[in-house]
Amino acid sequence: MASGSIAAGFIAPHPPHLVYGENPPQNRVKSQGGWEPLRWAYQHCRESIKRLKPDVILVHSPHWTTIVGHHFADVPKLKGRSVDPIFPHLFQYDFEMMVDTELAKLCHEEAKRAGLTAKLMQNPNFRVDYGTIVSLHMLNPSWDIPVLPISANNSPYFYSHEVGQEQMVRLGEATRRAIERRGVRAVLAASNTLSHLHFSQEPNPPEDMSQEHIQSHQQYLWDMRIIGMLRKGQWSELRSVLPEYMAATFAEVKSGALMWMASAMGFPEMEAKVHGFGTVIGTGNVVMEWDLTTAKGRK
Amino acid sequence: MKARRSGIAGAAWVPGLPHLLHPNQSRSWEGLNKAYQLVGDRLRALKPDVIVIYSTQWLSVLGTSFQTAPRSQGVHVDDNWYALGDLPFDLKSDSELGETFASEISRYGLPTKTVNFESFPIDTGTIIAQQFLNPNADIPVSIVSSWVYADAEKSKLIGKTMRHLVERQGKRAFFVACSLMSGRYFTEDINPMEDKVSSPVDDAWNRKILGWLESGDFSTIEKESSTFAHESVPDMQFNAFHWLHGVLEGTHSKGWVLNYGPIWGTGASVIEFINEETP
Repeated sequence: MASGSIAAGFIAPHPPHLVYGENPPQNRVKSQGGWEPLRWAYQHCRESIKRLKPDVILVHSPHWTTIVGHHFADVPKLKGRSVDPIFPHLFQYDFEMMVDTELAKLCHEEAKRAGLTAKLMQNPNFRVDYGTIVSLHMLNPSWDIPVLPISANNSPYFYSHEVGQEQMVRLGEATRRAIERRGVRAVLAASNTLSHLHFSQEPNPPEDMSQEHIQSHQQYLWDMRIIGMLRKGQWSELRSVLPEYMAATFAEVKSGALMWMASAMGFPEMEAKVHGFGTVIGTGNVVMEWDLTTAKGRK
Repeated sequence: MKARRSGIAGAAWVPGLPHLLHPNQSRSWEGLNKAYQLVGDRLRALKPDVIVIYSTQWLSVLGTSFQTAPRSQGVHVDDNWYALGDLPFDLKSDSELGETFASEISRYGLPTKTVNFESFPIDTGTIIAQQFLNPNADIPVSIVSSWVYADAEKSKLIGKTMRHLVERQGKRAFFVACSLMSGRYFTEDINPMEDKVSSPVDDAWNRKILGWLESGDFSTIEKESSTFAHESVPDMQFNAFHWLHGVLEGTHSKGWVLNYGPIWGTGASVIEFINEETP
């Protein structure tokens, strides 16, 4: 089989508000809309995915938190209802996904080979987290492409920010090798917001956009600085400021999704596409794409 | 026969990890399991009207949440410890009490929410507590979340207010803080038989706190908790203690430590709180 490859990577933030605002049939809760700029940004991702025709979408979500190692879903079909424990009034979603279990096993193998603790999640009753579901729904609402959910190993939090991100670099490299061995065309999704400080109360209704704005100007400035680096492929600069950024804005990139994806893509020195930026209950969210099929500057 | 007084029927501090359902794998887990069972036996003998459970594994962001669904049933699979088996659960809530908690605590300017949604994910800690303390699900429960933005003062106020509201409703409640002490897990696979508290600093802090609890010196714990948080990794900033302190202040003189030991590197303890009326 020909060597597999990564066709594209997306920053795919997962506030459940985006699914709630869209009103898909899978979500039992209905809204009057809201957060359109972010939802329109995702529309571009959907078009890209249609064009790229990937065999699999891998998603790394901070809301599948694991303590002992990096976990890969290894159940052929996962199905159920996911109710967000934080925003249950917005997200009660009936999900059904096909998992590329062969890729899961290869990722597991490569992660272990890279010296990481890794596990295969084989419990068919496992309830998929809302972060995974929101990112996947927003990228591909028809769910007709197999997926591979990957957990966010929480243990780096016990060490320094630097150690945590370094683990994610190794996980990304292991993921790339697994994709190549599997011989599939893959799309990666880093399921995270940027700045993560937020308001602790929401308007009534939650989709009242007259109340939606960034939590602080400082947070906005940080997000714009980070997006600037991401757009230009300034990865070494980004890595050097990440600890400060995470401390200043509680940035969700701390979960490792962004560094995992960047590493898997080989830290591409290319102009990334910003499809949109928007806030959700005060957090900063960017939807971005790295189309590696057009990239020339991969390291 | 003594009249049943409203208020606190009893109180306990317990861990909420599924390892406790596998006592054969580790001597530490076995010791904690036996102590947990003892608390369950005593709780049921006290015949409370309701069990109030504060779980550090139910995190909330938009204020403190209170479970008000009349009945929650299902099978839970833990995100990390799924290999330890599925966790079936069946909870009957005291919805009226949950509604009262939410509405009255919000009067102090503290945000609250009630939660009454089908398929809402009940957390592992609550389910483990229910399995040990109320296995037949015949005692109503009132589950309260751990609000991530609550500090010690707010947590204590929430606890204190909840006790007063229980008294006002003329109910006898058994209050349960479901939390670890130090929460620093081993981040790799271990042999459970060799489980130990992962850091000597954590272990020393846990033991210091247990000593203060046994001597009834809650105020020292309150004063030292920020140092504990700085030097160790207390579960959810040790807010479960502050909540329970608010519940018990002025009524219960000390804790009786039934067991202390590691669960995958964390420090876990089973403590019953006693007053002059505790049999």
